[in-house]
Amino acid sequence: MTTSAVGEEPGGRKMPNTGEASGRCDRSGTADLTDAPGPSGSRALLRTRELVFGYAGRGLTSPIDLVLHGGEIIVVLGPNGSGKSTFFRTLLGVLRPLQGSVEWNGRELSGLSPRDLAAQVAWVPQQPGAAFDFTVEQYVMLGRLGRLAAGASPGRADRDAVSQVIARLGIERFRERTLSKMSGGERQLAAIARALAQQAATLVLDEPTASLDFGNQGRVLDTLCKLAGEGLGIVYATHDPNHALRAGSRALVYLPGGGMAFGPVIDMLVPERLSTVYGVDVEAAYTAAGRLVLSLAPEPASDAASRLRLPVLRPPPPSAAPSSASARCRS
Amino acid sequence: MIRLPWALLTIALGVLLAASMLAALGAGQYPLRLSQVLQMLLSPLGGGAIEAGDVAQTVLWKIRLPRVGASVVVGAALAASGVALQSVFRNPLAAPDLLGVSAGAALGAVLGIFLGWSIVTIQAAAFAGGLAAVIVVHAVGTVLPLHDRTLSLVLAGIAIGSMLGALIALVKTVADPYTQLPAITFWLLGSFASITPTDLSMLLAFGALGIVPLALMRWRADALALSDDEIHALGLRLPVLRAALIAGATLATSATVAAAGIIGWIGLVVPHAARLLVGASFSRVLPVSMLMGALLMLMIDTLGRSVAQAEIPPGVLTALVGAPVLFALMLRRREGQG
Repeated sequence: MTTSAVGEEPGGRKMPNTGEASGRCDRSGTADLTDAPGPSGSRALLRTRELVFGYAGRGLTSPIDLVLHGGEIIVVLGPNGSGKSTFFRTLLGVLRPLQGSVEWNGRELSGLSPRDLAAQVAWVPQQPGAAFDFTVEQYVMLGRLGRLAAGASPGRADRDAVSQVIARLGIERFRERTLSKMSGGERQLAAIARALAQQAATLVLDEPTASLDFGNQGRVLDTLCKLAGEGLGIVYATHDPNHALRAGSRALVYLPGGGMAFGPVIDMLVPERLSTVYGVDVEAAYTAAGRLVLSLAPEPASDAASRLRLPVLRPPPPSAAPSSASARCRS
Repeated sequence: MIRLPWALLTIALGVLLAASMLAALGAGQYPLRLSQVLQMLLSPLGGGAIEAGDVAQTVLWKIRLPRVGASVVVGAALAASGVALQSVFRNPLAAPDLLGVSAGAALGAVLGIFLGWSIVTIQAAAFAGGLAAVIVVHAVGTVLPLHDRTLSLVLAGIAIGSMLGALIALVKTVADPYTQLPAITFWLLGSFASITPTDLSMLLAFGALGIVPLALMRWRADALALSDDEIHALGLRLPVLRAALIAGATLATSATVAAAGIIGWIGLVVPHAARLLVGASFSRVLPVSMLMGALLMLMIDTLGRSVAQAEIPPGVLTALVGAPVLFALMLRRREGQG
C-alpha cells in the first residue's frame, strides 16, 4: 500500500503533510495517464479505447479512454441514473460497446469466452445476495464454479482457494454462517471474497459501500486498499467523493451533458467540478489532521438552515494546518 | 436450526429407504414374511423363472416389485425436479405441478392415449407437453407487470395449468367412452395400482435420463441463486445451465406422469424440508430430496393400499400430508429467519 506523503502531490497542490496516514490509501501519487506501464511495470489489466456505451444504439457518454494497471484503483462517480451500471455491464461483456473497444489484459473483450473473461475480471454487484441461504463458505465457492469442468466437483485446490480468501478478508468467523444471518457489511465482504476466489486480476464493484453504515463503509474501503496494495486492479463506483479520496488512484467522473473526465483523484474531485456534476454546492475542508474532506455546502441564506441555527465551524485554512504535535492530540 | 451432518443423513435415509422397501414388498392383501421376500430377491433365479402356481413369486415379481419400484422412482424424480426448478426460477415456490409441467405432460400423454400411440411415443408426447408448458409459464410470468416475481410465476402457472386442464377435459369428451375414457380417467387420478414391469423400466430409463443432467450440474446449479450478470461474470453460460436443468426436470416429471399420472406436492414440499435439514447447497439438497421423496412416496402408496379396503390414490394422501407440512415449514422458516 502506497501512502505517499500528500505534500509531494504531482499536481503541485499544496497540502499539509501529516506524516501519518493509517488505514488511508491515497493512491493519487501513482496516477499515470500515459500509456506507459503501470507502477509494477506490468501491462494494462484493462484498457478502453474510444469506448461509447449505452442501450439501443444511444450512447450515454462521450468516448472513454482509460487504462488500469495492477495496484491501481479507479473510482467511478456520477449522479443517479447516469449510467455507471451500464458502464460496468459493458466492461463485463453483458452489453456490447456501441463504439470503440474494451481490452482485458491486452485481449479484445469480444474475443473472450465467458470463462476467459472470468479469469480476467471478477464482479461484485450492488447489494449482493443469493436466492437461497448459502453459508459463507458455499457462497465463496461459487467463485470457483467457472473453473470447474462440467460435472466435476470442487477439488482440494478449490477448497484451499476458498479458505485462503476467507482468511484474507478476515471473515473466518462467519465461515459457517448463512448469508441471511449476516449484516450488510459482512455480506459485502463475503461477496468480495467470492469475487477473489475467482482469482481474476481485476475486481469491479458497483457501489460496494451503498447502504452500509459508517464503520462498514470504512472496512470495505480499507479492504479495497489492501487488495490494491497486493497488486489487484480495482474499479468501483461510489456516491461519496470522500471514498475516492480515501481509496482511489484515479477517478472517472460523469459530467452533465454526457461528458466524461478521467484523471488523478485529487485533480478530478475539486469542489467546482463536483458542484457541476451533482448540481449542488460542494466545498472542501481540511480535518485537524490535515486531510481533505468534501462536503455539501449549506444553501446560502436558506430559511431552513437559519431556523435550525446550524453551528458553523470555522476550520483552519490549509496554510495554517496544525503541527504534527496537535494532530496527535485527537483522542 | 439443526443442520445434520449431511453424509450421515444421506446414509441414514438410504438405509431407511431400503428397509421400507423390504417392508413394503411384504405388506398387502397377500402378506409375505421378510425371510420369504429376502429369499426370493436373493435367489439366483431372479424373476426370470416363476414357477407356475407359485403365488408368492408372482405377487413379488409381477405386482409388488413394480409397484414399490415405481413409487420410489416417482418420488425421487418429482423431488429432484422440484429442486432443479426451484433453482432455475430462483424461487422456493416453483414445483413441477405449480409450473404446469405436470399438466402439460398429462395433456401430451392423454393425446397419446387418445391417438393410440405406442408407449415410447406417449412418453415423448408427455415430455414435449411438459416442456412447452414450462416455457409458456415462464414467458407469461416474465411478461406479467407485477413486481413480485414469485407471484407472477405462480399466477402464470395456475392460469396455464387450468387451460391445460380444460384441454385435457376436451380430449376426454371426444375420447371413446368405452375403451379410452376409462383408461384416461383412471390414469389421470394418479395411481401405482396398474404399474407393469414394462412401465417400471420405461420410468426408470426416462427418469434416470432426466436426473443425469441435474446430477452433472449439481455444483453449477448453485450459481443460479445469483443475478444473471453475476452468473455471466463467474464464467458460466447461463442459457446452457438453465436449459439443461429445465430439460432434465421436465423429462423426469413427464416420465412420472406417463407412469402414474399427476401426483402433486412432492416436488414442492420435499426440497423445502431437505433445505431445512442440509442447507441450500444443490449438491446436498438433490440427493437428500431424492431419498426423502422416494421414502415419502413409498410410505404414502403403501399406506394407501393397506389401510382401507379400497385403495386411496396417492395424490389424495400427498395433498393431505403436503399442504400442512408446507404450511409448517413456511412458518418455521419465517421464525428462523426473523
